[in-house]
Amino acid sequence: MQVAVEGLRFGYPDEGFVLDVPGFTVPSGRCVAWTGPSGCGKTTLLRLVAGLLVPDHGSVSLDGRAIQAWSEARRRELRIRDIGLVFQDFALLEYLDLRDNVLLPYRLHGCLRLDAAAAERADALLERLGLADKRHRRPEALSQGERQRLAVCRALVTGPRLVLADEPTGNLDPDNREKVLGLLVEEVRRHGATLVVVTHDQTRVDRFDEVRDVESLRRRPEAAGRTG
Amino acid sequence: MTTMTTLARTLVLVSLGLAPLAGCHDEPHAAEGRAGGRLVVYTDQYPLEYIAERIGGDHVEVHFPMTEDGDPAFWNPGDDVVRRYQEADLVLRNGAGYAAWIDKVTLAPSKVVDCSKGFAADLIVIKNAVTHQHGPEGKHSHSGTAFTTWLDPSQAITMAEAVHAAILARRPEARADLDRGLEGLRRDLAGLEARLVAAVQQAPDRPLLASHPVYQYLARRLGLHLESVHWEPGEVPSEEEWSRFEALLGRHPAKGMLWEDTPLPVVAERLRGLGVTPEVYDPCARKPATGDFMTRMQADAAALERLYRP
Amino acid sequence: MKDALHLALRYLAHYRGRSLVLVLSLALLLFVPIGLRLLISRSAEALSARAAASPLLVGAKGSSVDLVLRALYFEGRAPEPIPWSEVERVQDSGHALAIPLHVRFRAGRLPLVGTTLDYFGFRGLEVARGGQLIRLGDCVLGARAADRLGLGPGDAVVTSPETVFDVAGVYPLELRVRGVLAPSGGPDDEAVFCAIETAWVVEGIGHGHEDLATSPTGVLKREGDTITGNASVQEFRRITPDNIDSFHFHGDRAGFPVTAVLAVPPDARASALLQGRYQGPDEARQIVVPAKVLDELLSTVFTVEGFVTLALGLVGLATLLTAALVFVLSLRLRARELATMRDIGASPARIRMLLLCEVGYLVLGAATIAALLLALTGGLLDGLLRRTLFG
Repeated sequence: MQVAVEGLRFGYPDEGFVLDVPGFTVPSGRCVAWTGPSGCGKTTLLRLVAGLLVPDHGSVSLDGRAIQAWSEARRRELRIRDIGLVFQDFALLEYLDLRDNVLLPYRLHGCLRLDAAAAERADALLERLGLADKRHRRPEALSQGERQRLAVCRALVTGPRLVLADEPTGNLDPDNREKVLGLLVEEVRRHGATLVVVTHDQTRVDRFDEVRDVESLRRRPEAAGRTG
Repeated sequence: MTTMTTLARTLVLVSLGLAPLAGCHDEPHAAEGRAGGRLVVYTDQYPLEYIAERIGGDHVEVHFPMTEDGDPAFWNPGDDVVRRYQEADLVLRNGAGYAAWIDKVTLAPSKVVDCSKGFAADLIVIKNAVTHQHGPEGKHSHSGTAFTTWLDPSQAITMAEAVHAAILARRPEARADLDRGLEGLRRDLAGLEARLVAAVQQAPDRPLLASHPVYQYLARRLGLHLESVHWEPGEVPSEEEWSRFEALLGRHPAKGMLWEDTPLPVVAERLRGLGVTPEVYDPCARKPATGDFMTRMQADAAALERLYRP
Repeated sequence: MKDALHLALRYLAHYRGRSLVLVLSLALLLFVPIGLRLLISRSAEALSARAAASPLLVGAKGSSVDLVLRALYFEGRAPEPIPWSEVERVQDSGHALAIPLHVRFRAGRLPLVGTTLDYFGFRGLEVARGGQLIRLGDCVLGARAADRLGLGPGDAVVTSPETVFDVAGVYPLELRVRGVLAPSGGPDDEAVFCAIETAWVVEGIGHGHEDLATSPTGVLKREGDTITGNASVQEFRRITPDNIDSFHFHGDRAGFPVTAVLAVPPDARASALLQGRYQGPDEARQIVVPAKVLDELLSTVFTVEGFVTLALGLVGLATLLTAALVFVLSLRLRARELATMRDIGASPARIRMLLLCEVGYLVLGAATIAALLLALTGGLLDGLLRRTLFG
């Protein structure tokens, strides 16, 4: 899935923060990393691309469709069908076993059917990410690295065409960072999806097709002030 | 009243003599069904059986089920017989303390009619019974009441009226027949009474004896000068009893003596030797071998006529 | 919906301790007022049905409640007795069938009800085993009385005094069990019935003993026709075919005691006429419509119940608010979880549905437990109100 941003402007007025992005494109099937220091707007940009935030100005296009004009419901359906999300804090449901956690998207939206094929996909992912033995355990039984691998399984189970990962290795030790990031990239490539990983960790960027400093994507505040 | 069952309602209405109201429910009384619509009546002696049959005719089925020998006044029926009384539509009891067994069995009071109630105030109390005392309750007496009430034809008529009222309450649709039955009976009893009165009028002051104290009401009605002994028809009195009898004759010079049943020939002969003519005056508490209550009473009247012939 | 139910169930199962506390407190919240309500209304229904099926009661002047409770439910304080002549007064009025009730003693710890066969006919009580009362000294048992005493036809049950202190006059009489009645679902099931004459024997008005006139040893003194018995004269404790003839009653039957007369008029007019007869200023008896007396009694009960329900309602409201607070607080703790669901693509409606399912499960669980409690305790509580009220 191709991601294209054009003339995007989004602000948190209370915090005096404005994100101003003139434009960029992530071609379909590419694995890119967006880096930059904390507070530079990486996560905000990612959420704008995911349709979780709506820009004040400009457009976010996925495969050429500008999603900012879509209804909330349509964007939800887009997310559940086509976008896989990975969060820094894993965002697992402690009361579900591993398999149920992976299959969670199927239980949250009517457009997906939790059928045998879905279950098979979940089992295959758990297998590949080394969690098959614990599929009936709960997340509390997992190490930090395993938890994030589980989150990756959940993001990939619906076969998304775009995977957005927000600091996926931020809570992991160096060993696990390496492993999880490797697996993430590998799985996304296997699916032929587009991957955008937001990270402030510059050390593991060689795995990506492209690494962009978010600062470089932004228009400077004074320039923004001039145009705005 | 809405919660009252039909059966209970029928029970109430019948007990109050309001049977026509009960009749609007097509629920025959259990006993009625058994008797094919006839009122099942039980009595505690024969005269009431006769009276109920005379009055009720085809509307009633009357039973006095005593089969054992003996006096119905002292009968003690078995459980099966008591159950038949319980299942009857109507139990006619003589009252006046007759057949005390009825007081010791359980019958529904609404079904039981005391036929002596009409002259309850005039009952004769037997005075010479033993009074005794034990415990803190004070004196009491096992005194009895004279119970051969029907020998006074006037009282028999009152009893017949009570029977008539009891049947009428339960079979109001048969009023015409019941009235006719009562009228006929009343006429017969009145005729009997007239015959008895006329007989005694021949010699109203003539002293008379009785073998047993069962003629109290007859004596009262007719003004008889009657003294009683306690002799049984089937027994020969002891010499001591004979001498007491002769002493009695001395102050009560009777020429005739009433017997409940025929005395033994030897007794009858000795009585005649003393100038006393024995005559059977059967109270007819049980159905006679031949005839019925009325023919028996007429025979008794004839016996009295013989004793009072001038 | 299925998915929401699945997630809700998983959530509640995982936090089972908390869920259990919520379910139990909700269950109690449901059970206590409903149970109380049910208990009262069921008892009230049973009481009312009995009262409605008992048209009129005649008894001594005094508490009409005592009269009704004693005559209809064989419970509570016994009213002053009235003489048998009152039974005849009702019957002779022609306005009602008069059924006497003598409810003073107990047999085998159960109420002993002396009455006549009309009572069984009126109440529609059928003999299920054995036979009906036949003779003095017989009794028939209510269905539950037979179970509780473990007795049947042919057995015997001994009467006991009104109170343990009532040692003076009354001596125990052994009653012969003639039969057992079919269950009727009312107080009759738990009573022992005998003929009223038998009750009088228990009371000491009637008795049997050896014939003093012929007794060689039993005579204390003899004065003319009066014989005084001494302490060796044995009163019979059991009525048998051999001694039944010696049983006799002292005094005039018209004065023998009766607790109440159940008067059954055939229609409203007769009922009004009969009631009219008891309105005189010098009238020593009262006639009551049990349904009315009971309505008054129950209205008091219902007033009290109203207060109790109000109090329970307030407690319930507090509990409910606490439960709601617990739930809302748990939502705060679950903010991240719910945000994740939203991010992944769950609509707010879907999330509300999920939470509703959780609440639904809790309520369902609570209702099930409450229903189970009601079913379990229903049998035990049956009659509790009656005992509490009249005991």
